Amino acid sequence: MLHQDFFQIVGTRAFSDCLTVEMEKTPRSKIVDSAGGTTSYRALSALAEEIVARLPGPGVLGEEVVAICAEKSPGCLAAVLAVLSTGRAYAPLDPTHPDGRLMDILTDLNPAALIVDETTAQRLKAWALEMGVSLVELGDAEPPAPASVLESLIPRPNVVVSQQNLAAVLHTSGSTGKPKRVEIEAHALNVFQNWVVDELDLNIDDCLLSHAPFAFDLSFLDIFASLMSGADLALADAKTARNGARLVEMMKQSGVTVWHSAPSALKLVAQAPGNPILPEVRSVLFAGEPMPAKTLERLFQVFPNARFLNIYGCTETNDTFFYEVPREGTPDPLPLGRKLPYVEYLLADPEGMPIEGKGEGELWVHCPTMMRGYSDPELTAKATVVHDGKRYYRSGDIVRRDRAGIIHFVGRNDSIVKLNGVRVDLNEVDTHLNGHAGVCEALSFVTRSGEGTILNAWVKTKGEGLNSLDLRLHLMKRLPVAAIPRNFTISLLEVPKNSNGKACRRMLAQNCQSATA
Amino acid sequence: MSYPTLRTFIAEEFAMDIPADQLTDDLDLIDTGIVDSLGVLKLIAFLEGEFEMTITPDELDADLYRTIGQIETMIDAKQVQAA
Repeated sequence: MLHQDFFQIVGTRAFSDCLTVEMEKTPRSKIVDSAGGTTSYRALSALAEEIVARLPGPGVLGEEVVAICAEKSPGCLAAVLAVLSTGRAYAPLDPTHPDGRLMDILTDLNPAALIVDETTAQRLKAWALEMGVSLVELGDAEPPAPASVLESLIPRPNVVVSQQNLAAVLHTSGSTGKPKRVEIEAHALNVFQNWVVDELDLNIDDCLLSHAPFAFDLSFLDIFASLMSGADLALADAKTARNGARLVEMMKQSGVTVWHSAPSALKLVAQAPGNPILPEVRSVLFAGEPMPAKTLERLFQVFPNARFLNIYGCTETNDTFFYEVPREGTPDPLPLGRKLPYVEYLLADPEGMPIEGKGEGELWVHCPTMMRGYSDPELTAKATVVHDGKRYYRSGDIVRRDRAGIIHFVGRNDSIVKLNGVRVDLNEVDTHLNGHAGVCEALSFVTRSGEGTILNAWVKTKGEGLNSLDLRLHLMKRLPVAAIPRNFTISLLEVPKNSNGKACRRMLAQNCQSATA
Repeated sequence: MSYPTLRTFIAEEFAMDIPADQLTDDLDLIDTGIVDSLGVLKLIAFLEGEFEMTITPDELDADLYRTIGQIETMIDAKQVQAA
């Protein structure tokens, strides 16, 4: 177990050094890939060093970011370590996103280099060439080009990058149709992994299943808590991640003891054929959306010896609350629970005044794991507030504190929804729908049923001839698949308005739900 | 070969307003959001019922049901196996 003082870790390089030191203590711990292959920590470090040699030397001025767009694999993990070891931040991009969206993000990000795999190389090579960004392909057996050999022979300066604190850059759905860039510092990752290792008592006998793609904040727990504690790490690639039978197989073969994912992935396990039972698993962690009671009941049987933790957090703050789920008398819905040890929070009334004792308000969070900010200072200013000299992140979540001090989720005060664990800003969906030439006015909205949360859209057209396929083909070039509505109502009628004349998602959802009831 | 009931099922279940001739053989049903993960399960249940196919646990993979062309090839292969 780790007991280093997390406040000592300031820079990205220091964090990376700390990872290296911890990993060297357990060189035989391993990464298991989806095909069952293993890569020891030692081999992983060697892989990372090879990648470092192929990265351009660090810039002289300021902080740099290296983008990684690759299928989850040991090579991709090595790329993360490689980037951090050069004192730079890594920006993981989801390869399942459309090319146009990836290129927009990359252009905005202006990375020092782009690390790809064979598949994403084909998709992004032209962009890298045009923008003059060095492209590093994972698993590329070709010897590095002469120039980069030369570069790698020049000793990397140690001093230049020591001030760099930025460690990771994530992208999350933004209301204007452009993803928001979230900047996360090294000490935030370190404080967080420390808590995870402590709370779960993670150690060399554990194996953690990493389900989320690296582009999601959930992966911070998987990657850094495992490597810091010497636990094995099983990487479920995209294909495995969406197949319950394969996930169960992977857990059995790799000896998984800790599971971490969104509830939708656990649903796949609960529904997996053959009623699997996995007694080895001792912790089941889930985050990102409500857990259906029926799924949970089934999961108690699948994991008879595990403790269950409902975790609450967001990309901007990482995890901040958790609830230890009792097997008997399980509440439905599950509360968000209690704050993590290093978190301070308050419930704010609509005037921004803190609420004492039990009550309902917007959750504001102050913690060392909070983002530095968005890349856009205006967005940061809107999302954060200083109270009593402390900087709080305004979560946008309305929560209730009960008499016992337990926090419960009530709803959102904006347009953000979670669909299969993916955060989607409905305004972003609207923006892209309205961008279609045949659309007069569009409004997306969600309905909830036994199947979960479903995304729908009402579209007023300019005339005949527009169908949902036209809209889908338009959206699929711009949005991740989770943000494409399942149902479209295409009409010559206006979007329903409330009494203030404002387009109203709630009215649409109510009409839709009463029509199908 | 072409299976008209398959196309009708997809149109009626997932894409009521899309004319059948626009549901081309190579249209990506997953990336367009026409069929989501739950939709794949509905589709598999349909294939098992309609074509008396047995889908193995390993075949519960959305990637195998991306296009109508791909599904038709799968039906063909299963029918050869069964014959």
